[in-house]
Amino acid sequence: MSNPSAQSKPPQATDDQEIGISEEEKKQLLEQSHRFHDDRERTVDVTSTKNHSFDDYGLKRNLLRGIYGMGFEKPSPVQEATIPISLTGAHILARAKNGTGKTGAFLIPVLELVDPSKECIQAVILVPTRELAIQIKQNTSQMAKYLDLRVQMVTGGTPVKDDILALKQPGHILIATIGRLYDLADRKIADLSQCKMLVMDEADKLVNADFQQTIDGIISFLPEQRQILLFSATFPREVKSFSDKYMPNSHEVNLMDELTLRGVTQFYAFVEEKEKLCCLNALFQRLEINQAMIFCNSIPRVVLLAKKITEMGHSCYYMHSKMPREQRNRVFVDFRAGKCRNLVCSDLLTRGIDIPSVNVVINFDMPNASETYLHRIGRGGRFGHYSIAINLITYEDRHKMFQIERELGTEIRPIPNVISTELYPAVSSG
Amino acid sequence: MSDYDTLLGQRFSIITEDQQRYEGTLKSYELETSFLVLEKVQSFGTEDRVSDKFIPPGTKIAPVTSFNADNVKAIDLAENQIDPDAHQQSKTSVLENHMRNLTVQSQPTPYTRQQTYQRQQSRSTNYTPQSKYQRNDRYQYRQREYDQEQDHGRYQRPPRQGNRIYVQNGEQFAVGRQTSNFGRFDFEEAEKKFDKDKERQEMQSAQELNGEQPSIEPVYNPQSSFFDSLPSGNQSSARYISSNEEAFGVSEVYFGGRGRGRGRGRYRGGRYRGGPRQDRGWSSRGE
Repeated sequence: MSNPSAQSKPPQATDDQEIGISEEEKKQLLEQSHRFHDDRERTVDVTSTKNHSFDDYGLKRNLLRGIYGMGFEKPSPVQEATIPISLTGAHILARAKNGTGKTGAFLIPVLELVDPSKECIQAVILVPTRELAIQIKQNTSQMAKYLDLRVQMVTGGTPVKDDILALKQPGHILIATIGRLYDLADRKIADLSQCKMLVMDEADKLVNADFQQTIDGIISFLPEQRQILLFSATFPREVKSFSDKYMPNSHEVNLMDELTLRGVTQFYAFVEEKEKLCCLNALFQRLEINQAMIFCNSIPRVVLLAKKITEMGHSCYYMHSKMPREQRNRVFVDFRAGKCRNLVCSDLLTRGIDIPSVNVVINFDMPNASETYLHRIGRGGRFGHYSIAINLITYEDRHKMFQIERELGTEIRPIPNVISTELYPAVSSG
Repeated sequence: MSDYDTLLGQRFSIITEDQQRYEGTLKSYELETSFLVLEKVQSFGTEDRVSDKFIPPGTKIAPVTSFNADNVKAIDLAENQIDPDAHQQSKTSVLENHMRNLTVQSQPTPYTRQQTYQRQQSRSTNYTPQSKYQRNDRYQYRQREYDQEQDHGRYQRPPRQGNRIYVQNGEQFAVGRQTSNFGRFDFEEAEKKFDKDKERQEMQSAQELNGEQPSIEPVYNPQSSFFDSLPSGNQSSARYISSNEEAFGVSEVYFGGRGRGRGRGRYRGGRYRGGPRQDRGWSSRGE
């Protein structure tokens, strides 16, 4: 069965310009993808869609192939709400919960609107951390698999020389951390004069007072005719001054009735500081961890804790911002590939990191801000799946917990004797 | 046809001789040739089992895979915790043995529960110190690789005496320690020590005494504004310097020896002149 929209196209159109894809090919692509076989239950955070199809958006055929090849069957709510607007070239501020398809929501319009025949940077995706850049680069390359596009990445902590060499032949899409991009643009190495799209992922992390000048600088290198897309789960009021300044007539898309994810159940265990390790050990024995992320509040504590977990006899990696770049990359890539069960980390990985097999998040230390807490527990429960978050609370932390509960409008319950695995199924339970 | 047909369509866990675990739905079996055919098979790699080579979980799901029973070390229903050593003795007609065991298990007799209980018990006693040691050793090894990489890299710093947490000889260290060294944690007892509602009320009354008005305005109200007023995590620097000793039994921390000003390449020489100040801002926040 071939799609009627494909048949109606004039015969002289090339394959690249044609839109639509046959049902058969779609099914085949979907079945080959890994995500498609993940048959865990999903919450309304991702299932309450208007039943759009990616075929409805008039996307390039080869882009559709990439989308289905990634196992995206239907657009998620945030994708339904933003893609049609983004395709018109309008500015967007989009707010959606952690792991509900924001990356897809900006990648699809970017890949659709970029012209492969023009050899220049046409879209920039700005992110706060290198790990997020790596992840988005992987996603972009995967989705652009059938498109003739080049995707480049420039991040801090790597030799600038390499970036200079790479940018001699600019790609179509550039994924960057903010400081490095400003540096390269300022030195006229990255030419942003043709870059009509600026995506800011985890926008509130990028648009804050610390980076004000850098962001202003980057935007000054962009052409007058430009489109800015902001995506995040948290939009503090500071962002408003930015959007007022640079994003006239912008669309605000808000898909969050509440801040926390439906699928993430939050527990606390009341401990003394010296009992934390013992409690963690007990948790390891009790829980059926598929993969866990364990957060600490300082770098020394990350290292110390990772050591102790290894002593307990569990596989464990750790990661923080003061590690050498190669090592950071390796830990991140290996953990994503499932080579290790536990990852102890600092708030470096609080944002955006998408590892679907993480079903347990443990706050070994309670974060100081609810915003940090929200993003930390959002590492579990990706794409509407179920997961649990466990907080080790000391007496000193109790006020923090109350504050978090009040600000996020959520409840953190004492850890029960038995936690049903239905609350945090592993990827392959089906 | 046979009693074993009740097992068809059920989800099975299989451990092969190379210690990889697979899960799949039983499609068919041949007792004569000792073949099992599973559908929707996913590999979970070597997981925590001791093997010559660590194999990570697979990312793909194979539609159909056949297993030769000679190569199968253990088999069990996927819902049970599979025991890699359970069926080792029965090399002859392995499959039939497996199958027989399983059909017995899957009969809904009143003893089933007890049986599985016993199985689990015997399983826990099977955790011999030796296997513990091997497990530890492997993880220790992996962590050591990273350590060595660190030591090998730019972090050249003479090992210090005293409260250093780095282990020179990971194996010895790991052998000496048993999990029990971390003690038992009683969640119920801990829960009794903390009355959440009472504490919350105390906090509120304390705030009122101090004249602080607890803000009633919700920080996020999608009806009134797109934006929220969540306090940003950027301003709050999270530091736990004093409690490291309590939590980990060490006061001074040696982590990869980041010497001030000479740790990373980018601070040296002129290679990074005019480099990314902003990116440095990220790391200096200690994230």
